[in-house]
Amino acid sequence: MDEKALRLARLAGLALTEGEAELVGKHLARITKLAGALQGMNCEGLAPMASPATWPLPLAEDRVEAGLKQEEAVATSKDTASGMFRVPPLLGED
Amino acid sequence: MGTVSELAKGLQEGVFSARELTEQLLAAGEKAQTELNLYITTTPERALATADRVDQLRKQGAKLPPLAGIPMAIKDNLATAGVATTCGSRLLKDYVPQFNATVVDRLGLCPLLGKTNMDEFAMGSSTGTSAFGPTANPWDSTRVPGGSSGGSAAAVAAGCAPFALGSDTGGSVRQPASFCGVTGLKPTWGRVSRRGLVAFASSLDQVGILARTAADCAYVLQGIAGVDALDATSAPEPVPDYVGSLEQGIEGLTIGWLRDPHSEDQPGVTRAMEQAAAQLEQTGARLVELDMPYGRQALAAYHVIAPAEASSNLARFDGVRYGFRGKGVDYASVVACSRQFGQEVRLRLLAGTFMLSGENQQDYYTAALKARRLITGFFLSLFDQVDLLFSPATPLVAFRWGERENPLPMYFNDYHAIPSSLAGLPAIALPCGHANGLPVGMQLVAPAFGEALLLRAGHAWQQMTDWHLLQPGEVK
Repeated sequence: MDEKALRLARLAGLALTEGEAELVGKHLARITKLAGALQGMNCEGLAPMASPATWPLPLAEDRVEAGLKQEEAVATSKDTASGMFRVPPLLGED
Repeated sequence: MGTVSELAKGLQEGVFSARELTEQLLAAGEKAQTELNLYITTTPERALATADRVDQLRKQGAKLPPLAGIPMAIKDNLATAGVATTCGSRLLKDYVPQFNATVVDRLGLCPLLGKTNMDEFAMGSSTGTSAFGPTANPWDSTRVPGGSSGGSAAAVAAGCAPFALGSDTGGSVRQPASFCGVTGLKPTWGRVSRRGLVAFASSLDQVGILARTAADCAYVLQGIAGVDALDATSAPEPVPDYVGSLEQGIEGLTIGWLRDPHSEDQPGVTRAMEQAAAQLEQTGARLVELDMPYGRQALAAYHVIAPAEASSNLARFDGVRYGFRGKGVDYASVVACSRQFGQEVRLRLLAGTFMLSGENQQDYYTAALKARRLITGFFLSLFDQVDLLFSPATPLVAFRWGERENPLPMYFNDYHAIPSSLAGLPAIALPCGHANGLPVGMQLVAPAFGEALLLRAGHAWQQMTDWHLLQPGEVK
C-alpha cells in the first residue's frame, strides 16, 4: 500500500483499505493541482489571515463555575450504571 | 403556506392557533418524508408542547416576540437538548446533547418540527453524503437539493417549514437555496452565535437562514443575531432593525456585477443573470460591471483551509470522547476503527492532514491564508466603489444524482459563494429565474455587518418579481 497514504492515515487516525489508498493518492493529486492556483499570487508582505474577526476576541475570566449536575450529565446517555456512564472497554472483550 | 409575517399575523389575530399551524406542518412533513427524506429526526411531541405553551401565553395576554408560534426546522448539526444531533453521520447517530445551541434557545418559542438532513459533517453539495440517505429536490426528485443544508432548503421549498436554520461554510446555505428556489442568508462571520454548531471549519462556519423571502430572513435574523457570552467569536456589534428597514428600497445604490471569465456558468444561469441585472436596474439601483480575477484562487484557498481546519476539529470524534466506538488491539487501532466517516469526509480529513504536515504547512496552508488576506482586501476595495456585489449564487441548476460523482466537479458548485465566505462577508441567495424548469439563484454580497442593506435589496427585488413565490412544479 502507498506509504504516503498510510502515513497520512496514521496522522489522521483513519484506517485505510487497499482500494482507498489509491483513491487518496488520486484525490491529493487533484487537490494539489487545484491548490496550484495559489502560486503566482503576489502575497508578499501580507500576513496570513486565520479568521475574519476584526474585533478583539475576549478571553473568559478564569473562574470556577457550576457545571452539569451528575443526573443531568448522564440523562441523555444510552447506557448508565450506578449513576455513571457505562461504556465498552477501550481494549479487550466486553 | 404563507410567509413568516403572514403566519405571525394569523397567530396574533387568532385566525389559527400555534397548535393548528404546527399540526398542519407536522402532517405535511410526514407526508413528504417518504419521497424527499427531509428529516433525520422529527420532534412532534416537542413541537406541540411549544405550540401549546405559546397558545397559553397568548391567551394570558403575554407580549410575545414576532416569531412566537411559527414552527421551524433545524439542520442536524445544531445542538438540541434531548434530541439526537447526528451531523448526518453514523458516528453521532446516538449523540444526544444536554444543551441547545444558542440560536435554538433564542428561537425557543418556535415549535421545532425536526432536525433536517445534511451532508455528513456539512461536507458536500448534494446532501448525498448523509449516512441517513439522500434528500430529494422537491422540484424534481431525481435531482439533488444541494448541500450541505439540503434538508433545510427542501423543507422550506416543499412547504413543510416556514423557515429553517442551516449552516454555511463555503456556500452550504446559498447553493441549496438556489437549487430549491428559496431564499438563503449567510450572515457576517460573528453576527450570529455558533455555540452549539458542530464545527467543520471554524474560521468559515456561520449559522444561516433558509426561508421563502428576504423579509422572512429578516424576521429570523432579528431573533438570532447578536453577541453571545458563550461564543467568544460572536461580534459585539449592535443589532440593527432589520425588519424595520426592509421598505427603504435601494434606489440610488450602486451594485457591482462580478464578471469572472473562469466561472463556467451554465448558459441558462447566465441568461437568468442577464435578465435579473436588467430588472435590478428597474429598482432604481445602478449596475456596474467589475472584474473578478480571484475566483479560481479563492476556490483553491478554501479547499486548503477548510479541510485543514476540519482535520483538527473532527479529531475529537475518536470513539473515546465522542461517537461510535470500534474495536482494536491498542488505542491507535481503536481510534482508527471508530472513525468510520463516509468517503467524502475521509478524503477531506486526509487532504487537511496533508496540508498541515511538514513543509506542506508553509507551501499550502500558510500560502492559502495569505491568499485569503489578498482576496479579502480585494473585496473591501470593491466596496469603495459599490454598495453591493451581484453574481450567480452557483454556476448551475440542480443536477441529477450521479452526474457529479467526483469531488472536484462537486467543489465547483460553490465557486461564487466561496470568496465572500473567505472574507467573512454577508451574502444572500435569491430566486431569480428558471432554466429547464429548475430554479436559478442570484447572489448579493454586502460589506461586513451589512445584512440590513442586503435584506432591503432582497426585499426590493422580491417586491417586483415572483420567482420566490413559485411552488415546486410551477413554471413561468
